[in-house]
Amino acid sequence: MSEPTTTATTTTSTLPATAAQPALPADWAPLVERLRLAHLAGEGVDVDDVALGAPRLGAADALVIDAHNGLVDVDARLSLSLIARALRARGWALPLLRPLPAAPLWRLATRAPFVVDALVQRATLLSVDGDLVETPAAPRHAAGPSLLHTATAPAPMAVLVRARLRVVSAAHTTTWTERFDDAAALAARVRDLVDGARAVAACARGRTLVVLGGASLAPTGSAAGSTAPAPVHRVDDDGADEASDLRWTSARSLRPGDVFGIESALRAGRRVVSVPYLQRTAVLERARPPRALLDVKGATAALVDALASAPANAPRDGSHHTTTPTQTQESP
Amino acid sequence: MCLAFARGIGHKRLMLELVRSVPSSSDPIDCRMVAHDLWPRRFLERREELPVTLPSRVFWPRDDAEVQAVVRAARVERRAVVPFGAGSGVCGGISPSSTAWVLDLKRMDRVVSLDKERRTVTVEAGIIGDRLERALNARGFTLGHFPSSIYCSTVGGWVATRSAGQLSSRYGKIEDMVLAVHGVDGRGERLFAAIDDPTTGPAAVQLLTGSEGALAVLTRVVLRVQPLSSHRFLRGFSFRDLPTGLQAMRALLAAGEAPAVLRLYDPLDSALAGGAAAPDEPLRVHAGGIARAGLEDSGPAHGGDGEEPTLFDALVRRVEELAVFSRPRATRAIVGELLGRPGLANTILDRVHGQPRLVVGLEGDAADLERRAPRLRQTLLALGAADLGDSPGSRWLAHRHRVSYRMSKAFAVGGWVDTCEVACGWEQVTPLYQAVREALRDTALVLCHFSHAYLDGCSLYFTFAGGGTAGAGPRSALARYDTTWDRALTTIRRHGAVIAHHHGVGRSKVRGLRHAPGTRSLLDELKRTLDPDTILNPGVLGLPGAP
Repeated sequence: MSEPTTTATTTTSTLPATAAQPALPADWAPLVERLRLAHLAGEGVDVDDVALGAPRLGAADALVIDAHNGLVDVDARLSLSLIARALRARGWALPLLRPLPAAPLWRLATRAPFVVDALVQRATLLSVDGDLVETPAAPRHAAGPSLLHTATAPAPMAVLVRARLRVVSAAHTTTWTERFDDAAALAARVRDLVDGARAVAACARGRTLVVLGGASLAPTGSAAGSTAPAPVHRVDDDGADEASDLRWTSARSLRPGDVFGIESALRAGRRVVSVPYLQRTAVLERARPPRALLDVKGATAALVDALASAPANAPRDGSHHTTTPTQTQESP
Repeated sequence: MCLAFARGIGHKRLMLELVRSVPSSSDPIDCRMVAHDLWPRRFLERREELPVTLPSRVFWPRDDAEVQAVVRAARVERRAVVPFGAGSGVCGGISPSSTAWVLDLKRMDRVVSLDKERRTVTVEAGIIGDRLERALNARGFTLGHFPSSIYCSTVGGWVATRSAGQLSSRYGKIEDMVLAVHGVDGRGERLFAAIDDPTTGPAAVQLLTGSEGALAVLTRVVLRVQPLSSHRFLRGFSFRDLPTGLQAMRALLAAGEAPAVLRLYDPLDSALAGGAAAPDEPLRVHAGGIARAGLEDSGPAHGGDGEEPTLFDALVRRVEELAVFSRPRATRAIVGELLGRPGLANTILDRVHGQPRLVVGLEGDAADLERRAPRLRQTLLALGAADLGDSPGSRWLAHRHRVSYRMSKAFAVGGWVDTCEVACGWEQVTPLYQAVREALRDTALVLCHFSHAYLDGCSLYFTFAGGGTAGAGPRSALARYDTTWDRALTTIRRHGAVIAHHHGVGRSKVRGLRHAPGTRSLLDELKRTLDPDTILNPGVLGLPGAP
């Protein structure tokens, strides 16, 4: 699917803290109808079979920047790639380095929980039974389970209709590159960035790490195991960084400091991304794991099945390793 | 048919037989210990001599299998099961009925393993916070989670209520640290979810986190840990007004400083705490990170002179200063009277002109902090701050865990104190602060601090203090307490803030939850599937509860 090359943006000082009970945007009605018919037939709907079309160009609410809180309110039919481009033109950046997927955000969220986990502050969701759900408009909350994550469940219980994404001011940040002798040293550096919780974004591939962070964070000398940092241009140049061979379509979350998981992914040629200030890490992949939209009852049953079947695979100590455990574990 | 019936009887007997091996007690004293949490309303009820509802039995399971046995037996008997950590919650999340069983998890308190390379620790849910932190410190690590209740709360309780610690600006809230959870659902089935398990992913972890015992009994969690910092820097600053102080907090976060401590106190709180400018005091970097220093230097064993005043103590001190006498009983009586006349008290306190006080703390190695501390100070001075020197920070450090240990003396003089933590976008912080103060003007004294800040918003932590209406009968304190909460929750909702940032919902804030139909259907379906007989902690989060 081709994506539009531009979209309207609006900048406001703030976004409304509360919306009145939202009405389903007309553009989403086909999905609701599709789900209704599928449920009547006792079937699921493959997310790849749903075409909603891109937002109308020029629509005032397609992308609204809240400069006061560092948020951007977007129509979830937009892609991260397009959102990033529009933000850059306004002096803002996503806490995620490019290249970014061309898939619409709502569909990406079903295959890349990391995106919702790290980027989305709040959302308007469309439950697979056709109801609208507003998640709390706050940076964090303690008002029950995170319903935002229903959009990333193994069988999604809801899809994103609109999302408020965390963004950072380009004026406060800078990008730099670090090069490492081996994948292990690079993985350790990613872990250190996560430990520090100050950098905005990090993207590792091969032996290279690109970091987005406050200017004061940029290293003045060589990081351990790395050569001297060099200025980066390629990832910031429009076009080159959107090369199709670097596009990703799904993401597998990692434990943020899992050096072995990170190293293993790097050795396999994958890219590893981190949002250190939010302590999230993931491996980017080009797989398209199947995602079917069931009804709420079916989706919940699938989630609970996953929860109940997982313990059999979990090591006795409660950890869950995607890579080889090492002698570094100890029992106090 | 007869065979099925016999099998049913056999199953029931087996379930009840299995549960007999789990340590338990129906002794009224044991049951009294788990009858409720620290919800201040319960203290008012006790003071008014209203009856306490005791659960039928308390169990102390030692492992997941015993938790399963209790839940399965409770299901057979159609009894409610209420998970219990250390009972330090303040929202009425623990309130078992007379037929309920309580699962006290404190025997499940092992640190199972520490993975130093991956920076994870696996712990059982019943471990008390400071025991975990000390175990980690001994190996050079910290969880970075320091709720004021760290000496009297459990890891399971933290995860169940989406707790936050005092260093959240640096380490995040508990939901940022939890990587995997084990639990037992209302069917008695074992559950496991991990953010890196492709079958469950972060979704399942985040749907169980904050479920307040209503979807599953959490038995074990995997948490992210970090190496202990070697040095700390703490400093106090004041501002001409609240918006300027809030702007300074945002500026530090936008600059990528990630301070470990970032606490702004409102003018009244700052005035009651006192302190003077110390612009010439040199910047000092101390050995020992805030995490370790805090545990070593604060807590129940440390007290005496120089204590950070509670609201009640501060009022007593002010009354003594005004009255030019020191007769403790008379002073307390005056303060008790003031709490009963909040309109008058607020009028008096309006004349107290304090300047908002900010405590900022950084952690790191010495060289790092030597670089960052002067830059931080310059940033704040450029935003109009006055430097208060080291003492606000060191005072805070020494007394930061006290509040959860001591019942406010206000209860002894007929008054009450409660706290309310909410969160919203930055633009709503000042209007909400003013609106809550105004809404409660004739029902309570209100203090506030701002101690959990993010790039996209902030938490407001209100302290309410009030009393009964003079001459209005013994239940008037309860009535005014309820009125205060009704008004506060209405105001909070009207401003679009979320009603809980880190204490949870429990029962005290259920009336503030107004779920849209879609929200309801998702939550109810999760409850129906994980707990089909609605036996797990009925009544919290506004979820259905039958037994």
